[in-house]
Amino acid sequence: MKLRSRLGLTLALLVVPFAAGVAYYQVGAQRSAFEQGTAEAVVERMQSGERAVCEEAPAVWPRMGPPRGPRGWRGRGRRSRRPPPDLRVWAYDVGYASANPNAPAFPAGLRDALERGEGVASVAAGGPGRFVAVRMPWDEGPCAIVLVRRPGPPEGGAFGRALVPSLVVSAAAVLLAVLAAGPIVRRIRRLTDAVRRPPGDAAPIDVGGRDEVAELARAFEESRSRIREQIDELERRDETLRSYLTNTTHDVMIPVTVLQGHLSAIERSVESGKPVEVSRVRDALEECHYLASLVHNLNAAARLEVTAGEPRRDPVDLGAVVERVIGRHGPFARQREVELNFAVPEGSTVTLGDMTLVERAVGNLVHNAVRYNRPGGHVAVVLERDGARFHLRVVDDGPGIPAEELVRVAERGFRGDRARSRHPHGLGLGLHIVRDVAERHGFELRFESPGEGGLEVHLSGDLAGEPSGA
Amino acid sequence: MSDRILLVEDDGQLGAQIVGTLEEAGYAPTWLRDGDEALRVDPGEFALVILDLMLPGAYGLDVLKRYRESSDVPVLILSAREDTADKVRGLSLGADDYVTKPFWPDELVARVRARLRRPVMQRADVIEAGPLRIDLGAREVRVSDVPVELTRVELDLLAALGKRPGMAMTRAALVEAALDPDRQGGERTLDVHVSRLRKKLGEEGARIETVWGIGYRLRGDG
Repeated sequence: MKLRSRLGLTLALLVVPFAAGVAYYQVGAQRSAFEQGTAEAVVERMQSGERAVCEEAPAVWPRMGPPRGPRGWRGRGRRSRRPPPDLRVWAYDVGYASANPNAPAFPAGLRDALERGEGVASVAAGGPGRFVAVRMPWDEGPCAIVLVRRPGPPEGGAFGRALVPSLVVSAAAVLLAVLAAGPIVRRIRRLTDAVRRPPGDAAPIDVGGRDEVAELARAFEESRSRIREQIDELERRDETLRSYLTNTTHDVMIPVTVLQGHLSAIERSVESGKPVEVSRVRDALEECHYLASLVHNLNAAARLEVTAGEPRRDPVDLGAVVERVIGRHGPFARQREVELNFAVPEGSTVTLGDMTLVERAVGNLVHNAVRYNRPGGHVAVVLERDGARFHLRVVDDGPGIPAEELVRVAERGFRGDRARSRHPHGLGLGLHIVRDVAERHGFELRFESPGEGGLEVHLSGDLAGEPSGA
Repeated sequence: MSDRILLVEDDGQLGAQIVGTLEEAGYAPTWLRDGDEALRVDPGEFALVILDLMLPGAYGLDVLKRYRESSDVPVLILSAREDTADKVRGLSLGADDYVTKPFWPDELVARVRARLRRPVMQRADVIEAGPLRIDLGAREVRVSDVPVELTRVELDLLAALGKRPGMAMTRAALVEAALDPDRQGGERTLDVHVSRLRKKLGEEGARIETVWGIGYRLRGDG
């Protein structure tokens, strides 16, 4: 339903009962005025002498038509010596019996009303006019109640006649209201058109003015720009995810292909009865190790990218982290004939952070130190506590990559796979994760190239309260 | 060595491989593939439990929780998920360690060995490494039951290394443990003391290994 029809219908539904109520009240007020006027006139007349006349000859009272008096029967202010022909009067005692044989039986409805204690009551007479019963201020004698029949306010259709004018006024009001709604409806239509514009439309939703419709337009505009921001954010994430998938696939497929190559070469050797080259098997194993590390790193990178800001702050036992990382890289180092050693202090060395990310960072440092070493080389991982700080050192004596170069690799924001492809085997990605993890945890990260060659990486940060254990 | 190890792992190939690795390392593994089955087992019968977190039936952490109600058996979690919350929950529910997939067979055996060895290490007051015997209480060192005369510094050095056999100790930690830095100097002096100690221990002197980039280590029997 349109707004205007709804407004009209609602107003009409409200106005009809209102008009009916007004008409009903009007009819009641008219009747009440008629009864009171009659009663006052009758009582005044009776008190000013007519009572004696009546009590003297109740059977014939009023002897000659209606009694004469200072006031006419027709109500207040109007005097008439001769009663109008349509006026009849009878007297009754308190038992509602009349001495006048011509008097009509007392109407039951009026009797009930007087019994209830009302001083005056009226009811429609069978013929023209109304019966009005008036109780006198005395209650003895044959003239304690006077019944009058006189023309009253119109009977049939009284309510209907009273209703018509209020209905007409109300209908006019409804019509005016519906017409007055016109400008509002037009503003709402403008708003609808503005909201319906395609999302790409840069023009803001604005209908001018300072009313509620303008406020609604502003609310729409606010919500539209919020939605637009969210869509932009989602599109950005979608783009990140898509490029992540593309890069991941690319990065993972390379070692898988290399691994397949090694394995089929081994298979060919076995099939043709030739001895399998140990170096081939080692290369295949190395590729497996790299693949696992790469997938973990991609995972960490994706998590770092999605969850900006503060990392988790769980207690992380760095001693256990170092042991796990050494355990992980021990077999890999043996394959490469690199000696991998570690030292951790007794008891636990606990810091606060994201266990997976911290382990990944330490793992990447160890992985690089082993991978960019030479057979016969060394890697040492040393964890120390110094007051409220921990100090982790990954040292190697490989030819490696100069510290300055590593700093550059780690600092360069990695975007897409550019940083990864710059160095063989994901060095960029691994170091970037180390740097990012250190930054988020508030750890200090330093690369040093000692004079005698090799590389030293230092990672230090705050401990979580007092170290436990001996 | 025939410690019974309970392995709960749903993947057929990986499970078979782990069982093979453990048997080769001298353990007696029992392999369950289902979480609900694992819930019915008494963990007290095993020396160690290797538990995969992603299982059909009961979730791995539920199995862990149930085991911890009745037993202190060491539990090693296998996890393929890079989910920190999972690991943290596992450790807080009483897991002793976790190994992330993929892992090397050697890596797993090393973690198992470390877990099974640990309690023995802690109550050691007398350290034995081959014929070398260090009595920390009596401050006495014997090689093949023959007492060896050591200076206070040498004994402190050997005791410090012996407390955690197989673990490398940094030079700085050893200096702190055995030398008075004000009077006896620093890491240079330490090397001299170690060299003398090795000589006094004769053939067993080789047990004190130099660890590149760190310091020294006492080779145990493991």
